[in-house]
Amino acid sequence: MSYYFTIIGTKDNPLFEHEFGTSKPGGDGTAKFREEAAHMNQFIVHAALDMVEEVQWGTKDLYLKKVDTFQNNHIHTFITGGNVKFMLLMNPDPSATPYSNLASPPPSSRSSTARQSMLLANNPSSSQTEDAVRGFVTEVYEAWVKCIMNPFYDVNQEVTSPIFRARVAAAAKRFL
Amino acid sequence: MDRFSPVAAAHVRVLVLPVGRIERDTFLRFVRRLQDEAAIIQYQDLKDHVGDSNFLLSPRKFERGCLLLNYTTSSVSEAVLNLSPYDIFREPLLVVGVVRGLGEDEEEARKELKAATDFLRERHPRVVHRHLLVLQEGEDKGFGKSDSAALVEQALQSGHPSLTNAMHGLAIRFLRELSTYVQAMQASPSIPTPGQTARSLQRVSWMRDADSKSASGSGYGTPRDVSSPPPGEDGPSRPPSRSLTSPSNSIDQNPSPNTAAGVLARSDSNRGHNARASSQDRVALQGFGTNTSAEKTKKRGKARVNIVVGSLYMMAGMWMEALQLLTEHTGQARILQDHLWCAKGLENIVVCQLLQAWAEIDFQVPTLCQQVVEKSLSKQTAQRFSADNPGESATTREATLRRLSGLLPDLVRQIVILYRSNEGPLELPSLIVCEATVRLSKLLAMLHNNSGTLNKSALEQIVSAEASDRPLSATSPGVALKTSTNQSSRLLAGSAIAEVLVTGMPTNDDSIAVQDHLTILGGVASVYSILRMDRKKAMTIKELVVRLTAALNQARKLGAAEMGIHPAASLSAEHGAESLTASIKESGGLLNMIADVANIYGVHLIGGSADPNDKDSDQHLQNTRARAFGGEGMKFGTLRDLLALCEASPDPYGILRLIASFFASAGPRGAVDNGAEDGGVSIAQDEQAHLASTISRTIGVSKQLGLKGTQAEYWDPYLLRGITFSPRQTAVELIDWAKLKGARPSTSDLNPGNPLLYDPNARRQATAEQSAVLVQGEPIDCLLTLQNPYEVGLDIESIQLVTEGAEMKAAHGTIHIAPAKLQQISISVTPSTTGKAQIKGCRVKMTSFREQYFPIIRKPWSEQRSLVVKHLGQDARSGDHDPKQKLTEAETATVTVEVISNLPTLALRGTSLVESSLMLLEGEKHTFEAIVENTTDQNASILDVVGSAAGLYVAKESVAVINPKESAMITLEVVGRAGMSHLRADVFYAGPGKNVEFARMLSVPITVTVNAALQAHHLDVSESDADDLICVSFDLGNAWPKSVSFSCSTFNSDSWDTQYESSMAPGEVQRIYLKLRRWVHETKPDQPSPDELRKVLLDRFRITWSVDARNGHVPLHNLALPAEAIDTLRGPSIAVQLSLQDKQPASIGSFLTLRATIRNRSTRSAPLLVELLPRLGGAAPEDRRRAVAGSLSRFVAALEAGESKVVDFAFCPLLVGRLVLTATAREALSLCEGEEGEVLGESRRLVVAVA
Repeated sequence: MSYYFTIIGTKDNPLFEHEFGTSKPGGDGTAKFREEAAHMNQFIVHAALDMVEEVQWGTKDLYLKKVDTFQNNHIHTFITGGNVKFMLLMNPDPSATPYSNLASPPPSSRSSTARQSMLLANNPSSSQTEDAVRGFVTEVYEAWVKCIMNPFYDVNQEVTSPIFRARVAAAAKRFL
Repeated sequence: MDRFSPVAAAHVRVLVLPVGRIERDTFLRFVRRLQDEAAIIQYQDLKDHVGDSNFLLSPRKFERGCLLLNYTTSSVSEAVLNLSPYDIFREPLLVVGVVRGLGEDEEEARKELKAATDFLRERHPRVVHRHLLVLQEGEDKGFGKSDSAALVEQALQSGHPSLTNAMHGLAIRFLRELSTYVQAMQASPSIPTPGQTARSLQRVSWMRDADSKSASGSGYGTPRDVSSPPPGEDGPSRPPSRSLTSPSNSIDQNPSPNTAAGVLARSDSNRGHNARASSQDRVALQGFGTNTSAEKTKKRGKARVNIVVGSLYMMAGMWMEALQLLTEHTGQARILQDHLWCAKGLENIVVCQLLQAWAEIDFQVPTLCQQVVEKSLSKQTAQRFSADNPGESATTREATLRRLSGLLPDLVRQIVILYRSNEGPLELPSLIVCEATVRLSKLLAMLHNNSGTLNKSALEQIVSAEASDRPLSATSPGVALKTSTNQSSRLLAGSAIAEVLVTGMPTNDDSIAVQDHLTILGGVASVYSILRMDRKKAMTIKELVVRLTAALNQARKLGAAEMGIHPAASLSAEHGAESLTASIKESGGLLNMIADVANIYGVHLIGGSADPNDKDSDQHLQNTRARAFGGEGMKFGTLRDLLALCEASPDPYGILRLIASFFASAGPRGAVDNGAEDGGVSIAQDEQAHLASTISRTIGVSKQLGLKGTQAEYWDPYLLRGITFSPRQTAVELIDWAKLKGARPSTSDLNPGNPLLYDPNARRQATAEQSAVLVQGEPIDCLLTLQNPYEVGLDIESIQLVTEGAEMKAAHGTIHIAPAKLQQISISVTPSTTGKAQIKGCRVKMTSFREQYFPIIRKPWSEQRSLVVKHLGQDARSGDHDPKQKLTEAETATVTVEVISNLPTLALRGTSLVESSLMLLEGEKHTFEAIVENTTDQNASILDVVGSAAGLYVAKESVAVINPKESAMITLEVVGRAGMSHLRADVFYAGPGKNVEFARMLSVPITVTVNAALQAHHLDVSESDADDLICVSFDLGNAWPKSVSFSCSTFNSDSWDTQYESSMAPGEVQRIYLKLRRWVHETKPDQPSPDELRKVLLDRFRITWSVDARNGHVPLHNLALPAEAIDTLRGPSIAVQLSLQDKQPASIGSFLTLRATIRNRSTRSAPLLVELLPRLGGAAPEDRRRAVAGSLSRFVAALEAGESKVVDFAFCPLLVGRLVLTATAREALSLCEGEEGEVLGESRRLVVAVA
């Protein structure tokens, strides 16, 4: 399972981006996205914002659970009171994602995929995943609140703090 | 017509073809007319045309129906035709040939018609009906009319009734033929399902996903997995599972062998080649027969045939019959588990209902729909639907509509699922499934947009696809969701519809033709657009763009390969300018789409609208605001994709616009600071270079093709960073004459004493007020500071200053701005009018860019981050405008200039001196002329001539005015002085007129070498014998290597008297004594001053010399006056004069009367003590050697200034010899006791001889 976590400001502008892989048994904590995914993930998450805007009014929770699916990317969202969105894109098998649809994905070795699916609880719609993501975003939210309390931080400003990044990475390691 | 209209299935596809010779333009206009005027044919209007004949689909049977025609000019591919009986609306059932202008002769016309008919028949053997439309410009000649041809007069005049008439006739003929077709169709036993066997993995995963969604309650009701059959459902009626892992267990379909022949019992096309036989064979072979039940197969075949017939009825406008037929046989198909046909039937049932609702015909929602829905829903939801059922008495139509709209969300989902089900190893081609999904989700989206009700506007929108642009904010999705919580409205939520829609996105595995793929993507995007999901839409369009680009490039490559040229050259080879402009004109929508997509990602496309004269406003500065929207990576990615599309299309205007926008969004978006290291351009250098070269290449190619107006918009509005004027050459430098002469108070006088010791603004203010002074008609160098933060050089073709108040013309050579620089360029500016003016900016035309206005941005500036969040989502694109937080904009500056009227210019043509140089002896005077020419056509009046050194001045009789183009001589005099070398005479001049404000200066430079001749040193002044004379002495030396004769003269009240004449050998030094009349008659303390005394003294004598031809005065100005000489020159404050009243020699024993005359020379008055001091042989005579009558000292009362008094002493010498007497006057009162008062005056010694 590969993850792409991004924080989106109120102007559809990414404030923070982080890619990581699962740290559960069988994963080494690094993302296995294909090269074009770095580009496409942004677009996929951006498109999911439409769904966030639909869903956000229907619930009282800040955690919106899974909001969108694109190919085999699944996007979970947490929205803060300040309309800042934490978007977590997870992809169980990035090598199988066609992305632009133009270039066919390279023939992936099914065996490795199969092995991954065997080892990880990587069903993105399972309730365990929902809970894990909830734990993750809650922890990130805590770090985020501390981060934006910095008097030198302005709204919609990109987060460059290495401490924040380290905290996100730690949360990812713990939950995902 | 929209291919994805929800009611597309009810449209008859009409293929309009040009036959014979007809102009492209005429044909297209006619087709457009058909689309506008004859898209819907009401049966009411057909009544009169039908006549008595009765046939199956006669319009008389159902007068409220209508025929929906979908005119196209493109025929469908064989692959699509293969889908036909299933998706019968894809097949063109009607072919209309458009013929223009038959021949004059009737025979000939008939022949032509025959030929045209044959042509159509040959080309399109399979269609139901072929018809010819003959466009007739003139009057109806009567011939040419036949059963399968109609005349249209005034073919291109919109609204002319002849077209409608012709179409009515055509419609009836078509309906007749269609009746036959339907009857033939009914006779066929079964119809095979078009299909493919492959199935992609994605779909499986989606299915699984959808299942879990439904399990969690928010999804639509899908059948459960095989492992968990819904309770209370009987096995056979359960819809098939759609996963590969669990193949349907209900497949026992075995198409009977006779189906192949059955379908094609066409009315009059039996003779034609049966194109589809092979495909049917293919399908037929796929069947595998296990426990075949002939009965079941027969039933299924019947149901299928009747569903097709029902569809045909629907297309023919017989909606009631169609609905009945469809309901009956779809139910049958459902029972027989013929899911794909069930889906088809259900969709057509929905379409029938929608059409009837639209035509305001009462109908009943078939219970079948409800059954389909209920099966998938929990009991209570099912009850909800049945509860809706009774009790609506007043308006049954409304109730029906409400029921229908309530059912639709679930029903549509069911249909989509059924479409995706399989028939054994067979599933529908992706094209059908995807299009159906898009169609159905479009229906849901339209319903969603109308708050879930099927009101009139919603139906209008659904059927005639007229996008009603009502304010969408009225039903914000949030509100709609909050107010209704029931199942159907949750299914109507945008996100739920989007979930359905996303399944309609074709994937790579689907093997859909490129154009179909693109069309489907376009359809998906349009549904997203209805749902107001701009970002999803943008992403879909982006994919569409990528695919389209690839397809275009591929096509071009193939085309180029066919022509045998390089693909890169195909642009110029294939397209002439006309075809390119035409295609660009037609792709106006494409540009809009590009702009729309870019905007969604936060890129504001610049240019485009091409405002012909942007009124030198700062408008485009504001455009750059609020760009902090969106992510940079996405912006650039989108722009690159869009650019690739424009390059492939090819659209030069689009390319230029996109590249300009690319640079604009990548740039620093502000006025950069000089110190900034990288300027903040966020794309790499080589990409910038590539983009820039694309611009020039595009413009080059379009010029070659003759395209007009291909110019890019320059992307950096902060180009101009400052304007200054470079100083003029000294010859034409302006001098503020009024200020020089002190007539105008200087600025420092206006602001006296700043109370602040250090005022940082003091200096700034002064510079701000300063304005440059220009001269009308005279070019001046103007320095423009331009910023270029990009790694791309720019070539400037022209620059014009934009001014307010005065006109200026600029001229310059070629200017190149180097990459990544703040560069100063120089242009020559000539003002043509006078007065005060302000320079606001420049209009700059750069190579390959259009001329644009750039204001002056002097200070560095960058966009301020907005500190408030005022808008949500895409609304934030417009930027946050918070009145409390002022977002500062770049401050535009102006440069104030003052243009004065013409000034003449003088030029120095030479001097009378040889090489402007001169050797003088010290004190020698020389006169020379400077020749000055007025080079302008204006009088020049000379205001003043000032020499740079004291010895250089203008002769009094010099000229005052120099006429245009004339020369004049200015006479100058120079007197040799030590230390002279380079001298300059400044000639100040101005134009005619009294109030001279500005003048010019002409410098006359000369070189003077001064050698010493006679030199005076060691000045001394002493008293002389006479009372009113003083003696001046000095050393006079000859430094000249020749003997010099000289004469000394003194000034005597009004004339010069020569006192001494002589000559001196080289090196000789003489001491000269001269007597001068005393000129100081009154004394005051320290008055006159030593300088004054010296000056007057030096003026009172002179030494002239002459040697050979030279003569001159000895310079005395450097003679210093010794300190003691000052007192001598000033004289005592009391003048005492002692005189003997008796005759000399005096005899011993006789009394002499000595008179002391005292005069007060000063203004001070005090009592004086006058003493007579006799001396004899150097010592004071003892008392016995003299006798005094009275006393030797007298007190004198204070004298007024200038007053004189006489004091007489009687003195008797008692010895023979010489008696020396002096008289002194001293202050009578001394400040300290025992001290004598200060001596104020002393007389000269008086010598008296005593015999």
